Amino acid sequence: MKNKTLLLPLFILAIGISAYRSFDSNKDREVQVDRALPTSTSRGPAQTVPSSKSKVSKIQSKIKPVQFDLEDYHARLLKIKSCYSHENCRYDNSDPRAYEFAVGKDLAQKLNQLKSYVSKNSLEDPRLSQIAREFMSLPDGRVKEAALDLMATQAPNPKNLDSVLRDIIGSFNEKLIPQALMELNKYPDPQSQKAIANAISENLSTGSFRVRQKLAEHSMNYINSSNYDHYNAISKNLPVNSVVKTHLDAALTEYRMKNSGG
Amino acid sequence: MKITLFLFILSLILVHSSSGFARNTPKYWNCNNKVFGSWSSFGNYAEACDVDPFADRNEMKRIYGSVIVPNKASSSEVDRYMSEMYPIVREVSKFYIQSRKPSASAAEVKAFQDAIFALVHQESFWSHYRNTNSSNLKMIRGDVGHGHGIMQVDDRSHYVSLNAGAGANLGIHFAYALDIYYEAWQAAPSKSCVPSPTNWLSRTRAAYSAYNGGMGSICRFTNSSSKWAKNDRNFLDKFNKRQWLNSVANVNKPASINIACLSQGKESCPSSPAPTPNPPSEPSQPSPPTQQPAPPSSGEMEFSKNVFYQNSNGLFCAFEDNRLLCLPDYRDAACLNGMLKRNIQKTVDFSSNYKTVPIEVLDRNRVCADSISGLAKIGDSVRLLKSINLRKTPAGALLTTVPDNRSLQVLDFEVKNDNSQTRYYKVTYGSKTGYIYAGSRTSQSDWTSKSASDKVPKYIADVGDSIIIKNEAGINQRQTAGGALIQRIPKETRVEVWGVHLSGSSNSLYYYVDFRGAKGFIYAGQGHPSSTYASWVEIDARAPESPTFSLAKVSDSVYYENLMSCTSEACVKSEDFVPGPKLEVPASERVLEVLQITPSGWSQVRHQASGKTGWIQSQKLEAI
Repeated sequence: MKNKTLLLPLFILAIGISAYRSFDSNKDREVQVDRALPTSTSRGPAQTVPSSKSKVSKIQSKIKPVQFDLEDYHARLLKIKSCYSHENCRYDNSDPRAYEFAVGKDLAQKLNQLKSYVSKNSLEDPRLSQIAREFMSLPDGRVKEAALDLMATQAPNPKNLDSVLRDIIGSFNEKLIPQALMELNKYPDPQSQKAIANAISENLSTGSFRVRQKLAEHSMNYINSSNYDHYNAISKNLPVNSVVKTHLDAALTEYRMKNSGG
Repeated sequence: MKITLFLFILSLILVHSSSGFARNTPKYWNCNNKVFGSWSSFGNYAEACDVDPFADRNEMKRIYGSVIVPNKASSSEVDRYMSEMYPIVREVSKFYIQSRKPSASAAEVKAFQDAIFALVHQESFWSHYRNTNSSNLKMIRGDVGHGHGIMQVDDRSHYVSLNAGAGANLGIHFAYALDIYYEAWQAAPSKSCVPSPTNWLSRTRAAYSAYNGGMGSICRFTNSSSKWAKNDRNFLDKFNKRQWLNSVANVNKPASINIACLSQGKESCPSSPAPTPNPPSEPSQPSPPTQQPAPPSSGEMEFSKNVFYQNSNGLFCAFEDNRLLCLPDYRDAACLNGMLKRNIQKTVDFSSNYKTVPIEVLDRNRVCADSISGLAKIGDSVRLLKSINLRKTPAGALLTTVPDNRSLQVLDFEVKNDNSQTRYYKVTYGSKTGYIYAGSRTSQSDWTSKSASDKVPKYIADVGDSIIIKNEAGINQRQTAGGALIQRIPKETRVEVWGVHLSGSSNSLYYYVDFRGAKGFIYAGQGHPSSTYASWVEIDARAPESPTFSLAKVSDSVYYENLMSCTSEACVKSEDFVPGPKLEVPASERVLEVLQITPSGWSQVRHQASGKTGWIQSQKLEAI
């Protein structure tokens, strides 16, 4: 067991070196991005993220202290994001798609690290929501997924709702739809429900084929007494025999049967 | 908040839950029996690999047979191929943009179509399927194997979707790749390199740059010093020269396959509707099929016995004995053919100018059982007589292979309208639900045989089984299926099944049960397009005196948790989530039945409200 423990710091060093090679603008900082996130296994009530200058550290034998600075971390994420729009970062550029893939992978990985830390410490902070929204707007599905995971840890707010409706429901990444629909459950108020119904309806009709099918497939998750008539009307205007209509009609039937007892 | 580097390392290990999108796939990932075609010929450009395991090659051949070209094809074979593929690309690109943007002008639709013609030339020389002999089927793989299909979807960024058939199934492939191009097409007018939304050339080029290099490269075509500027120049050259037209005999020929239907992921699609003497009636206010739909308006046209008629409610009908016999879903066309001993392949729209005749809507479960020899019924148990691939859909991606001699319960069936009555059964094997091939009219007895029902995991109860009511409101007991009410049976009541009845195209399930001295039918969910059976009743496999499952709820301070498909944080997320303490939902929606607990710290749970099962880390649960 001791040997394994000793090997783990070597593992992080390898990751650090890898990151160092993949991103040459501001090399020192890149390593710091990976090391900037502390981790705690403690579970407890929601905590607040330390302010940008408040720092916590702990020194264990032979291990350097690490610090958590959200704004600094955010700046690093933005630095990577900027690589999308130019070809100067040292990511694999052996073919046109490899470069974008590498940038997205790096961003998603770092967002996942942030989410993991936030989740383990039950942190809630508007700045985390802001980061989630910012990266959810990027077209890369992996980055959207990581941003949605981060947003999932945060309290509801209207901007987050708009972001999910626009950047997930309105995108073509159908794999994120089930989780996005779960995220929308945070917004039971009538005004939000109206916005949700409008966005879903629009995408059931004119969204990406895959998204509209997934929305219809999971429609039992959002049909309720207050919007049943709305979706019933939407269904009547969908093409007959379409996959979307088949799923939506089945869900409407199921809702009716469930509530009447069959 | 005190931390150590060691714990951080641990977090790095823990955060590796798999993305639903990407993977560092190696070159030529899953590229079996690679062949090379040509560097300059339409239809068989560069390299190709077996369609398996991304899709079932026999089903791909059945559906897309007209656009398969021999590897190293002759010029006449290439011309035939291009004459078939051109109308498919023309129609799918038009259908796509009109579906996404009903307000698109005719000029925009044409510009989008022209862009896609050039795109499939640039990406693959219009290549998709090819073969080296009649028994195999291959698909183009470009960019050292990373690019899949005619629009070259990259397996590094789209790993999961390609694994699920987004490369191999041409219809799904178009829908998938067009999403990517369309997003760039829509974004382009907001970029400085596109002077106006109707500057079609710059919009086409910008969307191509983004398609090729990502959205960050959308204006790459204006940067001649870009490392990839040659791609933009080559695209423009193809766009201008339109060389594909040299191989297309008739640019107005209708597509030979119904690509609009196939692009929505369907596998049983009617032929493209043939032109009718009069335009079809507008599909206004469709209503669910009933036993006695309104007859069409009177007219003089005679019905033919050689075609199916599709009406505005979506019914597919065949003419027989001065009436129309109909089924609600074209996937059952083979059953109608079997019943009438015909081989109808063409479908026409059912206009009001036909003579008025009675319409009879049939039940798929009865028609298919009566007319398809050897077909197992839903709920039957079958034993596999050989190892059979389990696929996500009949034609879809391989999930696993079920070893021979296993017995499984049939949850649905599909019979292909191929004159051979090729059939597939929907089954659950382990944690995977999909379709197994079960032979044709002549070979079905080589693939499966009936099996005793007590040897299989059941999802539909049998006569003699006990079931427990799970619907929150209880379930009404009725004199007939859907008929007059007798009484309501409360949730958690245990009743014995006296009969099982399936009806309609959605496979609505009814059990005939005895409760408080009265016998009657209870509704127990629908099986198609998605199964809801598990949310209505639970089959009670336990002895009456056995203890009930322990109940739990999510205790972790979260809004919701994913029901993982396996016992590791590295698993790909499932599509099912359950609420956590921070989400406001009724208490009944939090209840989880703990089915088993593993020594590694995972619990398999069943979400009572939805019937969905999955895995959650035990530490995130608390007993209730």
